Amino acid sequence: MEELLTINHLIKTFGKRRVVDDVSFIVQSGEVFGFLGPNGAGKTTTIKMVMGFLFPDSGDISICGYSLKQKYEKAMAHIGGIVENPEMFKEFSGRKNIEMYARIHGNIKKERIDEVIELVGMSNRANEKIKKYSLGMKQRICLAQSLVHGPKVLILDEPTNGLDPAGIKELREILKKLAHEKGIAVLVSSHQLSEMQLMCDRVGIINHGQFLGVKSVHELTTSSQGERYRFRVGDTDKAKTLLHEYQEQIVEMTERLIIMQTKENEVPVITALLANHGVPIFGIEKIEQSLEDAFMNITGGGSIE
Amino acid sequence: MSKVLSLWRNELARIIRRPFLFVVTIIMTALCLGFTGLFKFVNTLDQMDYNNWYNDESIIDDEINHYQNEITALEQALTQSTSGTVEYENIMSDLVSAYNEQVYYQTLKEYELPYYTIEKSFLDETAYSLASAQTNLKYSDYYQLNEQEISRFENQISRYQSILKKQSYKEYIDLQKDLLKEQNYSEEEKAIYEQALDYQYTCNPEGILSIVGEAEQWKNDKLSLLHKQYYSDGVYVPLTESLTKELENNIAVYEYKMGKGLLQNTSNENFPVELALSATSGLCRSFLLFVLIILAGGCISSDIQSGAVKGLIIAPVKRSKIFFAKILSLLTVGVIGTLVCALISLASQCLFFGYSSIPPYIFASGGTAHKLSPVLYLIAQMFVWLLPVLLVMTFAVMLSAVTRSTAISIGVSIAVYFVCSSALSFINLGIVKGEWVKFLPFQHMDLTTAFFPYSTVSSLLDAVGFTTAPSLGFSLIYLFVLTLCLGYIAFDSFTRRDI
Repeated sequence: MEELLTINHLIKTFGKRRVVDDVSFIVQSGEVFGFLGPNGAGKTTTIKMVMGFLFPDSGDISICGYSLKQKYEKAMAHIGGIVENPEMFKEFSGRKNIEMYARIHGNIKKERIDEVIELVGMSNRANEKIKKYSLGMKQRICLAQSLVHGPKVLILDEPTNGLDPAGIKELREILKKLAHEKGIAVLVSSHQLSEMQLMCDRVGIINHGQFLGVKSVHELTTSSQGERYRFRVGDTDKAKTLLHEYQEQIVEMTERLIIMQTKENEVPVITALLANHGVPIFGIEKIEQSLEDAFMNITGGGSIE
Repeated sequence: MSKVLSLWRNELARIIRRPFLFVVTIIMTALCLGFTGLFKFVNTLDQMDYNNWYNDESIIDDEINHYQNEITALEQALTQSTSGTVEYENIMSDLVSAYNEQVYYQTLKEYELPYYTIEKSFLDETAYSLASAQTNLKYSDYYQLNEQEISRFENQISRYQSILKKQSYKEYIDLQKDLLKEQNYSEEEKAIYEQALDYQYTCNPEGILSIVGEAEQWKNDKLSLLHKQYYSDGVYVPLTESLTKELENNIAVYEYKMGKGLLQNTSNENFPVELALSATSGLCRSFLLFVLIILAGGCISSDIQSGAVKGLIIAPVKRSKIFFAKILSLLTVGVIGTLVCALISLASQCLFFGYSSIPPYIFASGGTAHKLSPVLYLIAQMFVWLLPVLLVMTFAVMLSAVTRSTAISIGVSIAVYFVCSSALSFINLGIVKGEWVKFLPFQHMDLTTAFFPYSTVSSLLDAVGFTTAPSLGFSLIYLFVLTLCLGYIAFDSFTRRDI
């Protein structure tokens, strides 16, 4: 996998406050990279530096091997994106906006414009003026504009804002398709962690301007020590005694529930143990650890490692 | 370069799409047509007969009676005074004046001339000259006139009476020429005076006008050139080399105009026609000024405020190219707008008064006259007006980039423009003086006179005494440098500040 977006030791200070503090990470081709962090963590500031809105105090950004400082136009030719709210020229139609943007890039055919409009599902509304669009429609057209020149890096800041569930699902599928089929490096920042869990391949977490690290979503939502399982039993005291003798780790226990941290291949053994000793078992289910949990743990002071 | 052109096209497309441009153009066109139509209407009305205001026999009779009473009283006083005394001389002087005035009003009555006239005022002058001659004759003993002088006055009286009877301007001109012979002028001076009289008659055979301004100015300039001095503020000042060249150019312009019948005059007969073009082009310039300042004041700030700047920043172009594209688009709108304004003024004038009503521009270089066609002259005037406006636009762009507030940029720019215009008036009145004044922007905000020095009727020499205006070269350099400085501030603010 090729490193398409490289961020090295970025620092940005506003007044006395260091908003981005030595942030470094890489986004590779063919992946959807989630950029997570609480409000005010520095996500949008980092993204704005990548997109050319802000000038870093120090550090470097390179896109497809081109440094943003030395080869600005060549670097920006490979990037597309939406920062904060999608904004376009309201007096023109969606199609006209894309045509005007494409004109700056040069050598973009009309068919390509039609293609990206169709990709985002705006073929029927593209000739209407932007001022008549809803937020979701603007998002789509902005996305189409971002893709018209065939960028290798796509950056989306809070792209699911304003989209209905169907729209969110559609966007997720588009982004995954762009990444996995077209090999584009997609960087997405969002607060909707459930959505990010479904969309992203890897996530990087930033908090208080400091980059805490990068992990795959799979790694964040699983544990080397095994998964958690919920047992609904009839006699929790007896079950507890048995499990202690068996040296199984009980994470939590209520009147009718026992949550255990164990490996998958131990579940039948535990089930047989409880059943053989007369403990009624009403249900067994695996508890998936969510990205939200991992995120809250990490940003609450835990380590991403 | 292609990216700058692409951005320029985009910016122009955005500007043209703004509804207020169409609204302004329509309003401007309607007002120009309306104003020109109004001036046409005024022009076709019968000229207000100012004569009838004052053509009141009773007023003339009252004046005659008044002076008769005065004469009677003075004659009475004279008999009681001793000849040779100061008192006697004073009474005599008053008596002569009163008699002169009485004869003047009697002449008006005899020849049925109005009490006050604008048209054919050569008749008024003739009546006064007749009164003066008759007064001299009546008091010939007092003035100690010899026979020759008495004969001269008698001859003049008969000629004045003939002029008044026939109301002949030609006879008036011929009389003036004959009177020249009695003056102690050199041959060259006489030739100049005679030529000036011929010019007056050529341009105005009916003698409708009291003074033909540029013929008079031609005469003054020729005399100044002849004597190598000019009259200013009560003293004669030697001509410098540069002033001599300017006089030669002035004279070439007047002679060209007189040969082509393009002489300007001071009559109000053509006033509505000339004022119409001046009013419509001034109106168009005012509208265009507001449009350009609004566009310039919002060119950067409105994009930042609305967020539309994101689309520009994300594009693979450096901010410097975005900036230059915006400036280029503003310049394009300025040029196109100027042409549109010229076209609208021209069309309005041609529609109501015809193409011939638009004056060409006659200028001279190296003593040779040249002509600029009316259309080109009008367009050139508009573009000369645009030059300092570019400075104001750059100021608006600077404010737009620095403050990022459209309201402040537009408001302050408009205020500054009007302050500059007002300050220029103060400077032109001579209230503020000194060499340091030329380093302020005010005097450079109107380059019309500098570019077109032959556009006014007033003599060059009339302005010599008040000439504090900087040279054209200095003004252009000043405007260029100041525009560059403001432009750099805007450029730096846009390209190096976070968005």
